Amino acid sequence: MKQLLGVALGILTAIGGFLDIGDLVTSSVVGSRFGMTLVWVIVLGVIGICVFAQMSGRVAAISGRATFEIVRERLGARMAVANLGASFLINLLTLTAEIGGVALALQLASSIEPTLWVPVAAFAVWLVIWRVKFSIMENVTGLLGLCLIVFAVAVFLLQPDWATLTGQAIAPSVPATETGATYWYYAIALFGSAMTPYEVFFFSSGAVEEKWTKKDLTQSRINVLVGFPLGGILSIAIAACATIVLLPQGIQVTSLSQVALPVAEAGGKLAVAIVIVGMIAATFGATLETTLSSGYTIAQFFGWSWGKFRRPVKAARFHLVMIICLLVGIAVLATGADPVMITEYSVVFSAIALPLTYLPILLVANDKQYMGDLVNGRATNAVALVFLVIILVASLAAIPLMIITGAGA
Amino acid sequence: MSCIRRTFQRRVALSVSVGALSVLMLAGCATTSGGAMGTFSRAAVQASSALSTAQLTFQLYTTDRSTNGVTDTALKDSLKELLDAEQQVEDASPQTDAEVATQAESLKQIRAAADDVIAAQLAVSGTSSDDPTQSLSAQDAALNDLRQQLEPYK
Repeated sequence: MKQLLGVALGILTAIGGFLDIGDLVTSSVVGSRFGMTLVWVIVLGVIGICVFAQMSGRVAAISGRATFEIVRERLGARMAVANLGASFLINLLTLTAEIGGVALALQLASSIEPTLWVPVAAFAVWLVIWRVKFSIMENVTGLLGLCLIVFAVAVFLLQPDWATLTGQAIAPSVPATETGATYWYYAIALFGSAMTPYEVFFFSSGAVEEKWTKKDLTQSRINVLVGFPLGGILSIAIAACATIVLLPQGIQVTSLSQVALPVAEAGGKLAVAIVIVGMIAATFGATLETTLSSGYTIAQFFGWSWGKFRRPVKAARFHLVMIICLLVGIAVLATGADPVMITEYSVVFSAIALPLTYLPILLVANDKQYMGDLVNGRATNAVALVFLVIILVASLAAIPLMIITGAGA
Repeated sequence: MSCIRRTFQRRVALSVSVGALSVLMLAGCATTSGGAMGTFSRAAVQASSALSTAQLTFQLYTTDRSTNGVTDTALKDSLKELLDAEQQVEDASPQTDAEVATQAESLKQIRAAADDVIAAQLAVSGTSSDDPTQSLSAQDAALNDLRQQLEPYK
């Protein structure tokens, strides 16, 4: 019974923790401009993140070490520097976007300017990382993030024309009002938001924090293979809400407040209150994850002592890196930079950096020295290789498309 | 050896930073394509979207379906978008009489839309008892017309 509860809790937190500011904004932007025609990208991204997250979780559970530690040892400093550079910079950009996301969500609850919320949000993140146990932190934000299920409920309350919605999703085409280049630019943004690199680093380092062993592999697989796809359904629901309410009125999403409007239309004030709680939890949870990921990547690369399972005094440099990253995020947002714009850039730059993140994971997961008999099977490798090709194409196409479309304008 | 490696790593880091900045600048330049009419067209799309947002927000507020926080924020965001669109139109350099006329018309419509959003903000805060629903709706239609008129230049 206890084990069953553990599995259920794992799945629920995986669903609630799946979405972040990138998913909230990108799914809504895409729904308001392209309808359901890009839903296939969300499905593709979710399959991709499932493949690589369970791979990095397995590496951590079997070797007892986080992926990044092994990458440096196994592939050498040069490859690891490329991996570190790409992952860390994207992570920092994502962290900045997430802090901005928390501030924007708090503005929806309070009407107070987000600039004033930014330092408060960053301080709260630091405090939680400093004081709260890893499992409590993960479970609370994940469970509160489940409030975003209200998007799925809203889709039904809005009573859409299901035939049109499913028709757009099943037989996608570029809408008449958009160009092919913009369509593919947003396809890459959506793919980048689903496969954000910090997710695998956090997943793998989290496995070490929670002291996973071989015995935990089944539960970790269930969490990923059930929780993430259900989280992906929420992403699709956000796009559907925007498709049903915003697209027909010619509203193109440029702010978080617009993301909440379809929910208000569907369920009124109560639904709005629930969705705001969900948005705060999702962005706050993602800020915790990206902050920790910043510390993980740097500390693991340099071989410093790391982890929340250690007292801060025993992992001082790990904590210092996180504090510096939070301060950088605050500084960037203090310039008046639009968090939504930062989010849009962060998901596209994520897509650009994906090969440098995922190729090393695949190599390590095939190394018998670390994995013993539990190296990737043929089927996993085949799927992973297909994804590496997609990742490479998306990475190469992202910059030209960004320039051609003026960043999706 | 380690000195050479450090120099190499610094160069890589510098190249990556310069590359990323160049991409952002190029992406920014790409939005100015299509000349003045292209700018007016994009500004019309932005303004029309912002006003439709304000209209929906106000309607949800008056039917008691949305909270004060979401209403305030969405109206503020709409106004910001309209002011941004206005700035883009003002900054454009029209070359022909037709472009000058389109610039004047665009500014007129966008400013009227901004006035309507401010009226909605006043109504929500209780400062004004005027109901901006009709005005928002009429201006939304006018901006839609302008957007469609400029669609070919997008």
